[in-house]
Amino acid sequence: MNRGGICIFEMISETTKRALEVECRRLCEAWGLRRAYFAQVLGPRRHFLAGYGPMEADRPEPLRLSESLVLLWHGELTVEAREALRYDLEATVRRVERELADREAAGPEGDGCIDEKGNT
Amino acid sequence: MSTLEAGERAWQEERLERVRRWEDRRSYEDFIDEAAIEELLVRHRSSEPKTVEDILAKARQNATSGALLSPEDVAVLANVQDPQLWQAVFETADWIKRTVYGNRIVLFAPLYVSSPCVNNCAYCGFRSGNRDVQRRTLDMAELRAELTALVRAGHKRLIMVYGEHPASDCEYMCRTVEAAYQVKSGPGEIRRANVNAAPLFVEEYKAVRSVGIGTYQVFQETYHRPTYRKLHPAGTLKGEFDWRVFSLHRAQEAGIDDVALGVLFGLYDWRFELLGLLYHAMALEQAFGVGPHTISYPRLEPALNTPIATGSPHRVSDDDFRKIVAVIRLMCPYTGSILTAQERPELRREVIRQGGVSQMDAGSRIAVGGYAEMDREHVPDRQQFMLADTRSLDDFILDLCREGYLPSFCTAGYREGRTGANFMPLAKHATVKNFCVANGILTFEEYLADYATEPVRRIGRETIIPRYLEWLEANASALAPKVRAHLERMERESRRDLHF
Repeated sequence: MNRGGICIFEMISETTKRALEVECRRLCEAWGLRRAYFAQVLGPRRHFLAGYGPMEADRPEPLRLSESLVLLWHGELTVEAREALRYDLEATVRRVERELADREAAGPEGDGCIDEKGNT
Repeated sequence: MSTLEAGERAWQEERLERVRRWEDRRSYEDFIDEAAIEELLVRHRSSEPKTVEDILAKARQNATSGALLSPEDVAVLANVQDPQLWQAVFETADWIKRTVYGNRIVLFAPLYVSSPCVNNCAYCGFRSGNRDVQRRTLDMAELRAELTALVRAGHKRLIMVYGEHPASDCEYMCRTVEAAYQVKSGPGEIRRANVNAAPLFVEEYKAVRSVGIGTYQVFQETYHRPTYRKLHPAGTLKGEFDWRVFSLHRAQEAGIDDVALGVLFGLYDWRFELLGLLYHAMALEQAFGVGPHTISYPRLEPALNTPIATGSPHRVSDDDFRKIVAVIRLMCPYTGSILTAQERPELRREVIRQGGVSQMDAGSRIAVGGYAEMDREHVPDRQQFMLADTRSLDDFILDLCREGYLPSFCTAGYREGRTGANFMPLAKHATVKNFCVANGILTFEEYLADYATEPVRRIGRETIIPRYLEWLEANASALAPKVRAHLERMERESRRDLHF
């Protein structure tokens, strides 16, 4: 879908992206983090998906959530907090994993543009 | 004349059929209007100095907003005649580069993985009809030998180059990129593998994306359709202009959001090509909100049995080359600017400063299998073209240090999620330099500790690292103590790959 000349291509739908941004904001507020963002694991690459908070010139802390998802953040989290976070994010992780797998498997049909509902 | 074997011809024909189906269906709008570009260049053939000065002021402002210059602006700059105004353009290019990226130069090595190609491009030593050049596709053992040689020299970042051929298809590309990330030698490893290869279908891009490439680079060669048609025979894959010009749109479609542009300067009027690059960057920004990660500007170079390479009426002089590089920096301030070893050392030295260059290759060999026989600077019958700068990585770094630059092997950004739309704001608002300088210092110290000769180690530790630590203290004071702490850990605990 070409909307006013602007196409949006993401590995996740706009709806999921918004949900992840909300999730990151919630994490920042609940855990006192300055920034949090999700990335897809592709070999050594951490491919940005969605996040919340201003970028900082420092190395983010990583928490591997699944084979293909990692959460990165700026701020302090105890070991216990990390484990709680992992549990907290289980449903989100399942949803994103499923969507990433669906999109990887999707063929080249259509013009490739994705609308807000994730339709091509 | 092409000399394809039956299997190669069948592969090409099957692919060509699918390419044409894609072209028939594509929904992207053309962004190259030859007549409009030519008209712009004529309309702005002569401009008042004040007009040029205003554009230079605008380019400086754009360095912190990430805005592109307009096509009109670029047409004006490309037509400047006054040497004093050009001097002002060069100074602006250097200022923009330092403002966005700091004074570091990111180093990489090209790795030619395969040379067989089904195309028959008139200017290319690897064209299928050129019987004087030997073709070779590295097997995995040969590839590992090349990678080991590169890692042992100190390289961390590659551009892996592939011919368009069934032997180096997408599956081969994936296997070889994965192999690059697996090779370790002492403390060394490859941390970022970029790819220069032919346009792919979306599902192929997805496969290449899945192995964690850095940037996908497709050079358009020329944006001028009539020239393109003349040099790339019909009936070959590369003959399809639209397929190639939208190749990075498809890469974006597949989720590859670090894409790289390039022109082979010398095929057509360089002023036209500059505008082609600008329109391409604008089209990517409009469609995806993410512009080109880098722009390359190789010049047409002599190659074995390739007369057009020396006979083109559009060959670019050194003077014009300097202008091209500087205008690219002005028109697209956030993009990485890649100056390769195709150019002579003396010219590279000048153009780094005059053109606002941010990335360079060094210690390069471009014969397939060339790093395994490093002492041979040229292997003409196995190369696509000739290299003009064959200095070792260490000699090159010494030169950079003497000129006051920070040599950098940084690959941190894409490993920490600073990719695509998450990277662009850093580059567009010129805050990326804090990462660049901090990671530059740390990776340069790795090089000094593990690979450098004594003269490089001395100038690096006595002059360059202290100078850039001072820069950090003055410009990113929170980072400076962290970098110092990392440097101590590197020395005390032999830690490596500490980065931000």
